[in-house]
Amino acid sequence: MLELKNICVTFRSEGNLERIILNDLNLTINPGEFVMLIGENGAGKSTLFNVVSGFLKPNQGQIFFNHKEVTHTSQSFRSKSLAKVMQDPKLGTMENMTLYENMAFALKRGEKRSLRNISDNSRRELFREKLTLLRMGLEDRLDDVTGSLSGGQRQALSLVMAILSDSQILLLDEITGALDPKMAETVMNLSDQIIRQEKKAALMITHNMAHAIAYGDRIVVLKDGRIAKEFVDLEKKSLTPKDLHDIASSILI
Amino acid sequence: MSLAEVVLSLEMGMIYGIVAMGIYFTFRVIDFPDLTCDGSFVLGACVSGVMIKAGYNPLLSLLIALLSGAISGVFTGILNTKLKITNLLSGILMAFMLYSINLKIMGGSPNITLMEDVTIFTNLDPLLTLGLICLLVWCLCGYTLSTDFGLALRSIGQNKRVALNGGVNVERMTILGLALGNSLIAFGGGLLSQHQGFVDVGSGVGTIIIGLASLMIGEKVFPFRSPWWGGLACIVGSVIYRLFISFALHSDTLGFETQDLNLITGLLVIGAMVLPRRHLC
Repeated sequence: MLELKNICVTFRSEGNLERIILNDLNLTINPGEFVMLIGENGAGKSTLFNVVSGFLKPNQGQIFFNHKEVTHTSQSFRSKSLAKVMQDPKLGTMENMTLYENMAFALKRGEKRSLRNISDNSRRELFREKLTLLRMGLEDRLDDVTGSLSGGQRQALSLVMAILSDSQILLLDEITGALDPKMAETVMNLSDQIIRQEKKAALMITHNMAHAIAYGDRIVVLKDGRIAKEFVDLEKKSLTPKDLHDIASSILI
Repeated sequence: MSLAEVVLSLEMGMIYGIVAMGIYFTFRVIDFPDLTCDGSFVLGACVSGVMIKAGYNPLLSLLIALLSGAISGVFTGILNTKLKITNLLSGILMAFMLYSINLKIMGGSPNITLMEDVTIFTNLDPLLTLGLICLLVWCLCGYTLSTDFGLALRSIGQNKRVALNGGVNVERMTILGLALGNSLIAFGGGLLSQHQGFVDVGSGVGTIIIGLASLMIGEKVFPFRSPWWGGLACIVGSVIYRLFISFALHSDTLGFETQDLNLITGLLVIGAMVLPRRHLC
């Protein structure tokens, strides 16, 4: 479970002017809940991700992971409970390492990494099992280097890497942004399936309004660092991508 | 080339193979172009030489040399990660400062002779001893890099963002990688001082180029990306380099002289870099 309370982030620009990026933001995401975060450029979406992952400290407010406060903890400490999938598939995997090595690395996310050999039959079985879920034939390519995979395959691998450890919170940063429409649908279906199966609290930034409506449980519209509007259930399903786009760009706080 | 020259090339190749493994740790594993090695190599030689002169066990002197190299790597790491000095400059600064430190360790004298002192090679066959040491170092490095810890170390050289997301403390791991790399380089320096029977404060100049030449030649012979192959590439590449240099300098037809060593080494590195890099598995 992810809980953000009264989060404020301000930056000082040239001329010492204070610019408010996140303004008293409150957000709770429950286990198994898939929340879509939309908003125009500069609305504060990426800053919000940076605050949650620990890359940026908020000026005010509190962050809770599973009811434990993590506001002042480091990025590496938070990684035990939090996994991220990036927009660029190349950034989410290590291209000169094999699929097996990438997954072995992800398996120990946030844990102490011992002097135990990574080659292990039980690990291999687990990785094969997880990759089989993707139905991309990657389970037979465990010893291939990740650089030999297509963008979509690498993004799917990033997703599997994100769920290998016990992390309960998943941040998805425009994960279909670099994919073709068919592969984007495949990756979105996979994300949806994984989040529900593994009961992750997931927050996804997207500029694809059709995806925001079709997938997930809730749409959160961010505007000028605040949550301007939320859509759930029937209200969410009745939206069209154009409606949502207009709302995101014209909404007033 | 006589048999004695071939044997000497093999011995020197194995010593510098260990140095190349240190450079492999910094340049390849953690992707840190570390120039500390020109200083840490001599540091290991000085520490080992001075300890032998003081009557300590030569094996113990090698272990302390290894430790001293690790400390120099830690300082380079601190300069880079904590004081935010660029990686190249951190290494250059450290090597620069180590020159004075090495002179201090040697009591102000620029060289020490160990000809009449007991070294690890006094009662043992140098070729066999160095072969066993190389084997041990190769196994230790190969195993370490094949563990969960080794994977975390390799991750920072592969993709720092993935490393961060995986909970790896990139700064700490960089320092650790530099410590491991420079400990091997200093260990190699200690071995060379005992093998040659002298320590010279200027002997570290060009260590980086010799190490890189060995590494790159080795990577052409074994173009595989696994750390086990990487370690083997360092040793085999270093031996090939030494044999090549020895052949070039002793061949009448080629007409090279001792002063051409740096020129030949430089051309070898360029040749190794120009040849396309490929990984087979």
